[in-house]
Amino acid sequence: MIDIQHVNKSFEDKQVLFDVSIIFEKGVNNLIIGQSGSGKTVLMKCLLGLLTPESGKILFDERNFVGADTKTLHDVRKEVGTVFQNSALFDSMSVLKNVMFPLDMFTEWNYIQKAERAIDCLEQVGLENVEDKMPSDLSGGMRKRVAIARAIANRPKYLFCDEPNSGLDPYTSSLIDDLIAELTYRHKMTTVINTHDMNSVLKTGDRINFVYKGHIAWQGTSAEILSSGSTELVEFLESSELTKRLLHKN
Amino acid sequence: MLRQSLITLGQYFRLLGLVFQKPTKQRLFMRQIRDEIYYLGVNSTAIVAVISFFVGAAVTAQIKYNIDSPFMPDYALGFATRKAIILEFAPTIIGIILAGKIGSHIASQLGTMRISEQIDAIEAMGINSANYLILPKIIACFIFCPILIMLSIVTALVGGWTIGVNVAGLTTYQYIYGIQFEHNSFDLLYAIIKIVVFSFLISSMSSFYGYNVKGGALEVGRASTKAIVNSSIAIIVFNMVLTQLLIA
Repeated sequence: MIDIQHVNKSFEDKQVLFDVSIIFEKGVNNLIIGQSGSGKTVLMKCLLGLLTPESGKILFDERNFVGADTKTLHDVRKEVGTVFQNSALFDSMSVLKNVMFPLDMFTEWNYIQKAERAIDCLEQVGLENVEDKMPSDLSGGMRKRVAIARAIANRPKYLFCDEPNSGLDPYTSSLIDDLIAELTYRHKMTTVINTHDMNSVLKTGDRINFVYKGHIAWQGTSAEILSSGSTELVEFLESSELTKRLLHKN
Repeated sequence: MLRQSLITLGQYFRLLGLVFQKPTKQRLFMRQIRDEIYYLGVNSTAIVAVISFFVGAAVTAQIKYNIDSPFMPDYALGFATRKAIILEFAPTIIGIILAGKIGSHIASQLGTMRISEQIDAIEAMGINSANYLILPKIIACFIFCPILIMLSIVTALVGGWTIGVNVAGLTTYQYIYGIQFEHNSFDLLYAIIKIVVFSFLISSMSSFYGYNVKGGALEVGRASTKAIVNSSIAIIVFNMVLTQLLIA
């Protein structure tokens, strides 16, 4: 479980996050949704330790990540898997070496053990016989799958996905959603997904947090989102043709 | 302007503080050094050899033209060529060429990794990305640049011999006698000290500009240009300082 308590974050004189408090539960898909510029990515970067909040706490199973000593930071980060918006695969490494990278860094396993785990992770994301390919040889969807395989290689307790569907066609996008949800349930991970894909929200949103101008404006589930009663959320949902139709149908 | 320069200098030293830390995995670190020696060093041997050969030939031709006098012994041509090449040409000119070749490679590689979130991915795993990415490059340059300088000196002297024998009318014996005349081992040490300092400037400054790229492809290009220009200026300035310290 990740417990965010009263987090504030500014850049020079512009405050981006205002007293944000959220609980991300274990074994479910926790979604952060909101318009571009609402503070979603800043919140995600605070969770990853790439940005430091001015105040508040981010507790990873009772361990505060904000202002933590190097050992705690290191210990928590070893338990985190991340899927970046652009996949962020290492161009100079083959697919197999990309997936093996966290194992190279954090385990004392021999090459065969690491390769077996990497191939197993690639199979879990539905990729076979791509081990020797370079990231540049793969399609966008395949790159995303490799990024997911790399993120789960070290069996993380926490999985962060920053807009995992961006740039993908609806079919591949749906497959990626299913894959993340399935891995979350199977490995009992605390998964946090930053998205503005309404299809993903309705399909996999076990817990949804709507960020509006740096505030948490609404929290609920995909079953409750269409009857939220929040003016800002309704306005956001109406920007998508899919949710707009569903809203009017309701 | 001055304030911005001081801020940049502070950021540079802060980055160096992150770079010079114990690597996460020793075995992986050694493998990275080996790879960087190949990419940065071995891949630079051809350009260094070609440029050194022709500049060595040109230096010899210039010296012949300028000191052609009946009072000058023939072997003076080999002697002057050796001095010019070891003391100035090999470390400084090759340093500037490497600033272009290695500097642009490092800055564009790190810049691309930054804008495509690869550096963020390393950081998010709890790895010190500056140490993981930059330290192997600096150490690889420390190891391979002195070898490149030795190669440069040898090929430049061969270039000088080609002109000396075929154009300036020297015999091979006279040329070799000249380059051996009053040999001083300190000259070679001086060239190596210079290139070690220059290799640190090239690798660390280029890494600084590449690592701190913000934006897109255009900024990667700008960082690469800044890396080359500023490390070349630093080489010229440090060349003067080292010359004063070592032989003045």
